[in-house]
Amino acid sequence: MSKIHLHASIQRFANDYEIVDIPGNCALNELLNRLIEEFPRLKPIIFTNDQQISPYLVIFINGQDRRNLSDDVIVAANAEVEIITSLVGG
Amino acid sequence: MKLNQAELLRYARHFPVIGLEGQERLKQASVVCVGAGGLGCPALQYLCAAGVGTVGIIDDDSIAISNLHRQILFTENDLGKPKVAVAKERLANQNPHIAINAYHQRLSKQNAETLLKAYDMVLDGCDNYRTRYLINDVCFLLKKPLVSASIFQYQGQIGVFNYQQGPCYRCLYAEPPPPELSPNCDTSGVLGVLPGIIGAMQAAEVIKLIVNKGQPLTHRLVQLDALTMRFKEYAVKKNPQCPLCQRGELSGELFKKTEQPEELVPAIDPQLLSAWLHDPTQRVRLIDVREPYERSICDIGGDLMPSTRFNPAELHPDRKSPIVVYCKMGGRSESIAKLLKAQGHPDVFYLQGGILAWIDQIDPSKNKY
Repeated sequence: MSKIHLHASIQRFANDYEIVDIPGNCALNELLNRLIEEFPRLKPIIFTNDQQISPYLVIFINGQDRRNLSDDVIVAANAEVEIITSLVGG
Repeated sequence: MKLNQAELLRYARHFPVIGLEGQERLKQASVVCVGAGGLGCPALQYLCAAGVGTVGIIDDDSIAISNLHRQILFTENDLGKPKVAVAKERLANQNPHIAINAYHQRLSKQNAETLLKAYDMVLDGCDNYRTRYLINDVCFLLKKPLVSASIFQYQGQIGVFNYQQGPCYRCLYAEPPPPELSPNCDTSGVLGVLPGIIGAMQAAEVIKLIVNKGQPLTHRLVQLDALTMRFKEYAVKKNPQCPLCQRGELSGELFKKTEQPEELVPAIDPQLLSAWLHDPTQRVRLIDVREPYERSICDIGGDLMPSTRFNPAELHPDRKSPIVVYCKMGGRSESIAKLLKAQGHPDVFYLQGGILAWIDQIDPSKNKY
């Protein structure tokens, strides 16, 4: 299973889970869709209306920013995926 | 810049770690801190104690009682006073050998370049996205290193941007999240000690950059979860799609993108709401969007639907009744009212000034917080 770590600011859309195990070995978008199947309230957070990953989310796959990986990269079954957002408080 | 006798005694414990030359560099350096809040207070204390020669402080806010659990420069005697004035006085007492410049103003498009360009580097301790992106963009234009940090409840993030042609803040975060995902400390709360940790880390990064020692936190973002006391580190690279430092699209339009224009909804003042609630012919749907702990302190009735979990689908209003949303001061309720209006509810209001205004104007017997 791939472990998806959800940032504190979005955990409330996933029943307050911090880490969710999702079957991996698939493309990132597919993995995110599988996550959304479990937690439908994440859909408008993760994807824009035209199915692009939301520009305010930064996603790391095994520590690598997905923007530095090819679009069709396969997320390994045992991958660690981190979804983070910026914070604003000071 | 040579140290005098008093400084040689004061900084004696620094010399074994950063050397005389490092201390002289600190004396020559200038740093400006945007925000004298949770992050700014500890960062400024350490920078001034360390002997940074010129320190600027930019903040337009005044000290409130709810600041005191984390903003450790201030006391109850300072309530209502400008943060920058009190900070300057305390810091000057802490170290009389440095110059401190206080700017009691909000950083804006109009003044940012003028204020920031006088300093070697910038420490971001602000509490809103508009200022956060403005600081980054101006730092990029002025080629100033930026030591940026932010906090949320138990989490803090810190990174160094615009350093030696490294990534800028927009390379990592191209856009701010929508307001409901990114509440500030006023709304979401924060563990008081957290900004102390992160602010001190910002000061450490500033000092490292000035004395040119160690590995600066550039190309990396560090995130602390104070609940588990675990640090995570993320690699940050220059983003070829960065609208600022790669595609050169900086313009008024880019600034506007961080403003997130929204539909306006009307406010209702406590007097009118009170009249509505006492009018048997007037039906009003009242919604409290505060957290349960706030509700336990005081309330004026209505359904509790916290803004942090607000799901419009759970609202089944009688569409003939106006909806009035309330919170503590009006910020959260205005956001939720806008959301409801955008979803087609025609008659939506938010309580101006929140329940605090209600207590002031209608029912002083209730507890404030």
